[in-house]
Amino acid sequence: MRSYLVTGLLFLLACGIAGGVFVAWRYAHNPVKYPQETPELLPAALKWKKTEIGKTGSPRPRITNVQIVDFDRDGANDVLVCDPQRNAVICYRQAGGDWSEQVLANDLVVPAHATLTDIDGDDDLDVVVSELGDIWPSDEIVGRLVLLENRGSEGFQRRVLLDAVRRVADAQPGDFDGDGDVDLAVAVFGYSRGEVLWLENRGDYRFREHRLWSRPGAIHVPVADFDGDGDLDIATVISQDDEQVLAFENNGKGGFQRHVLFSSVNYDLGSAGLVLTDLDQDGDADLLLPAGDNLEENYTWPQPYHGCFWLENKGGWKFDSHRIATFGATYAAAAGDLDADGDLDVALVSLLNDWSSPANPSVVWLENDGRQNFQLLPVDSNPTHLVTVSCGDLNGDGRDDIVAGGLHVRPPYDRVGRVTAWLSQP
Amino acid sequence: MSRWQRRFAVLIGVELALGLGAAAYFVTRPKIPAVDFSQVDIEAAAVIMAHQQGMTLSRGEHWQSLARLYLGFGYLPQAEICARQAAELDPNSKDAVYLWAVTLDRLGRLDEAVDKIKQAQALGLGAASVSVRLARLELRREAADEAEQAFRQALEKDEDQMSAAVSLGRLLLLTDRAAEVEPVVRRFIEQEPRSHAPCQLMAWAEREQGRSQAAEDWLVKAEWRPSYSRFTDPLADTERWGASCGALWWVTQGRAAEAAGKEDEAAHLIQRALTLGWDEKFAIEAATLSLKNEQPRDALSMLRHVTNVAGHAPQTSFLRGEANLIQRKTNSAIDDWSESVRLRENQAAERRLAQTYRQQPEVEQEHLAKMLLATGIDACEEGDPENTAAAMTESLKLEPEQSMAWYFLGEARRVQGKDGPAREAYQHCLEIDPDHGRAREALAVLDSKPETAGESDTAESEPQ
Repeated sequence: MRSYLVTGLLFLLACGIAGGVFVAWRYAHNPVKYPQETPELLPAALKWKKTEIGKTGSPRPRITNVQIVDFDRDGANDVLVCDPQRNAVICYRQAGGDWSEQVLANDLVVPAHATLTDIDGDDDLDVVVSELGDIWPSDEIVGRLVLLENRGSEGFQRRVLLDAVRRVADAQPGDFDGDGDVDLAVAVFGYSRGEVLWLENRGDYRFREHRLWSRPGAIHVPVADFDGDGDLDIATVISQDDEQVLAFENNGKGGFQRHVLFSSVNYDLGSAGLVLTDLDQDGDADLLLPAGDNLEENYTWPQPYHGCFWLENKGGWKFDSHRIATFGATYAAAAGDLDADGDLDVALVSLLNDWSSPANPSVVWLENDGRQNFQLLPVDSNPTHLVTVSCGDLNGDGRDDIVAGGLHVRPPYDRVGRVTAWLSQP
Repeated sequence: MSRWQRRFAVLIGVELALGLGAAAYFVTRPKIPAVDFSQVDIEAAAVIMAHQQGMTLSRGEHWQSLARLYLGFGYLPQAEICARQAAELDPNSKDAVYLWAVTLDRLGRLDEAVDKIKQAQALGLGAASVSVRLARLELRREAADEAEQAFRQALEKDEDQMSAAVSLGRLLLLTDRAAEVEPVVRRFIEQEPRSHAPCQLMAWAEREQGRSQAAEDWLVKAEWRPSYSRFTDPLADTERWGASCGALWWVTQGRAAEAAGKEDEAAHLIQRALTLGWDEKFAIEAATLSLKNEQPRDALSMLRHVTNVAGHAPQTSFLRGEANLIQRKTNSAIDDWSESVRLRENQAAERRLAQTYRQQPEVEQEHLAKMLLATGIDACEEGDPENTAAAMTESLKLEPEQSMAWYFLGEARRVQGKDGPAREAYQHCLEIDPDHGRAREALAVLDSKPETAGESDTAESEPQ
């Protein structure tokens, strides 16, 4: 009897030890799940209805620019889109709750921005398209500025205004020499070489270029009377190697003097654009600087300095910079009265946030308390990889809506969107 | 208690102790952080999984290698955990501590990263690239003085560390010390007179000091640089190459095979990469190789996919034309080459069109002239003034009324120091296009310079 008991106990002991060893081995070789960090965000304060504009088409859409504009001047806002996958600039119009599509041109090589202006003074809106020529970093001479001349019912006639330059990112109109016609400021982004130009309108669609600055990485060239002296000045953001916002003060005759409005020694800040707005509504032209371009790495991570700066115009070419948001991989900003309280709020989108966490938003808005104190509130986390944003009233409710475009050039591809609108809801 | 009861109690006690020991081990043992394998291709996933399975959790070097693997494939938080574990297991390993710093750097945990780099340096890590990383981190913290110190430290360790010199030069410009730029970058300009970034910095420094003529001269040199490399993160994505797996690895192997003239093998390797992960740049390489191997259908299939993803582009249209030509679809090929030319000047497509129109001399000549113009622009992009000038000259002999060709000829002559011929070329350009602003500006710069004695302004090969 005893020998049976001893054998049984020894057997149990052996089983226990063997089981323990097995469990330990399994556990040691079974990777545990890494806990995801989720940001602490306040709940969304506004209600939005999300809608896709146009057909998604590609499984990995690439949109470079969206703008809410009244292109046909019918009183209802349209959405102007640059789509490099289709080599096209497209206007989406609202038609009975749906969106109709008009392709303005479909032979453009990576259109980066489309600017509306009446360049020939015939009282309709022409389109000046900045062609990158290559979406990827390149020093090749592949940029171009193309005019789509609005010929009414005959459609658009294509004219090349500037050729044989590096990648062109933006062009903005203004009469810089005071001769009554429309000249153009141009950002030639390039890669390791680039420049900022202004093109003097010589009539008959001929333009003479003048170099304002020779540095790579100019993204946008907003035009405004920054110093209130009655003529139009040009601002730009330099984002390659240096991180600077510059302005070129016009003497009224097309002569320019440079001012540094913002500068950072952080070469990795990632300036991603420059948006003209009068954020504090004091009658002068301020600027928004979204920062968070981290495309230089194959694998990216949101950085603590990403976000948005408000460059407040204090007069006399003095601009105070205020960080109004910290938001991972901020790529674009737009100002609008999103809560219809009379002040200007800001919408931000993120291109390469930490998308492994589904809670990380791709669109946020900054609620202005009326004294330019901003609170960051989420709008959505789907789609991801948003590169461009615009604000404007699309549904006619008096509150600005948000439209954003996706540039899906990096994984993950689980939340894909082409042109997405968030329409304000009561 | 009987003897057997006592024995039984001892056994129970032993089992309990073993159980408690095992439980304590489970709680305190290091854990391998899991990753989302859907982010990588299947081959890389297999390598990572094998690495995880082969881990001995008490060995720091195993944690280091897993950290590098994770870092190489973008699993940054997980890489940080592994690097931290490696550094904690082997606190005197400078490599482990530095790797931890790199992961913290990538995650934007800047203060911690700076601390760890300094710790690694204290342990004896002395490479100049480490000081450059420290300096860049200090810049990201907007600590300009500390960054300058680290850049200078890097240059003391390795005076050929161009990224340190260029970054330091920029910092000096930003802090209104333009006059100090020249000593920092002089060495690199002496080694390579048209070195891009140093020449660019010199131009900006001269401009800040009010010497616009000198600034223009430096800018021309910077514009015509032979090569340019940016600052690259030495321990970031490049670590993937050490893993010898994944799509990028096979593309690298394919490129090496192509360089060795093994085009069949190269095509096979790049297609293998494409089966692991789609990338339009790889697909264009694969299509080009398929064409070389006379497999037009493979090429067309890949080019169709590229166009769907990235839109029409001059290069893809040209390659499509080549594929159609191999299939004897000449009209389709002409359409494709014409599209390539319409989208952008493309020398290869122009050459093809010129060949196609050999029976029509005027059309052939026009395409040849444009081909040569595009060849010249390519040479310009390569920073090669001699070939730029040669191609533009030939192009202008065929079609003299090309303002763009005259402009680039002027630019090439200018960088060659032939101001007289450059001036003539700009003047020709302006005769054809009086609104050519760049030619006008360049001419103004040349006109403001005194005539250079002994200037070689032979017009031996200039078009008339």
